[in-house]
Amino acid sequence: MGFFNSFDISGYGLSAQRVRINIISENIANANTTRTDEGGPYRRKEVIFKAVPFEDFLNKEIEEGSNFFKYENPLDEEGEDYKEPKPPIETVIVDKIVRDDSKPILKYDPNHPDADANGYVAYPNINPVIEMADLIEATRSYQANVAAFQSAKNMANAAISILQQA
Amino acid sequence: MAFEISKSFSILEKSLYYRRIRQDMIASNIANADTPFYRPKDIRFEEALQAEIDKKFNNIKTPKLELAKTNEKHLKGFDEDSNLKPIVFYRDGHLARNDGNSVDIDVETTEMAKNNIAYNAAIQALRKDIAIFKAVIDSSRNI
Repeated sequence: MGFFNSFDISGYGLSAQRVRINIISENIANANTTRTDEGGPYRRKEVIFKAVPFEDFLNKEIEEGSNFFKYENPLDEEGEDYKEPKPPIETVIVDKIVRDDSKPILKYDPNHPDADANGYVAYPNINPVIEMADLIEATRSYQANVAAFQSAKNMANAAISILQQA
Repeated sequence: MAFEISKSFSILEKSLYYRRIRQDMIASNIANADTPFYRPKDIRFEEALQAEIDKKFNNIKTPKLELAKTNEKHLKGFDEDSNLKPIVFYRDGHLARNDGNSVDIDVETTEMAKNNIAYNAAIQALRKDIAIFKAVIDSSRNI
């Protein structure tokens, strides 16, 4: 069983949240961009996370050595949605980065070089308030992962301290 | 282990093992705090550990009455093995968000802190246990 497992689990979390922060920064930076390579205004991007099994060997060991308590979904009215918590240990990856194709914001500005025939300019569909809220959420999640990392580090150091003169 | 110098050794080892698994589980809950439809998982091993301790120290408080077995096909009467295993379960009951995720960061960090301190306590107990044997060996040097 790997000694540095939870370091890696938190490490995956850190890098996933960092990707998210980068994408949010990109959205804020391009809040007024009207020209892109694909044509049209910049479109908002969003990061999708996915839980993946972390270490097959350890998960197998836990599955063999434990009983699994079935979980019944209280929102499921037929009462058939039973789930066992398998695999027990999962980490997170960035599954994909999706583009938000909602309508651009149109502003009347006939003198703008990108204005259409009616004099409207298409600006990106970005609401800075939403982006800032997302940014704070991502930052807090990053900090939570840092806390988990530090906790794992304390445990590892304590384990090493057995070897110091007892 | 070829010979067992201390009974608490293997129990502490087991305890550290479960605590480490639990740390990994909490770390994965925190890593997935923003994953849609993720539910936090936890492991409950206290009963399993207690059963192991009872077995090791032979202090079964209420001795169970065994059913008479005159044939090997007879049933035991109660299943003992199922209590000896830790239980993995979804630690639900926290408010689920709109994306179907029910991880509560405050609960996770609290549990993690508890787990960390219990781990350190087990480490300290292990060090003291080693220190006892070291003291015995050291004091017998001058005999």
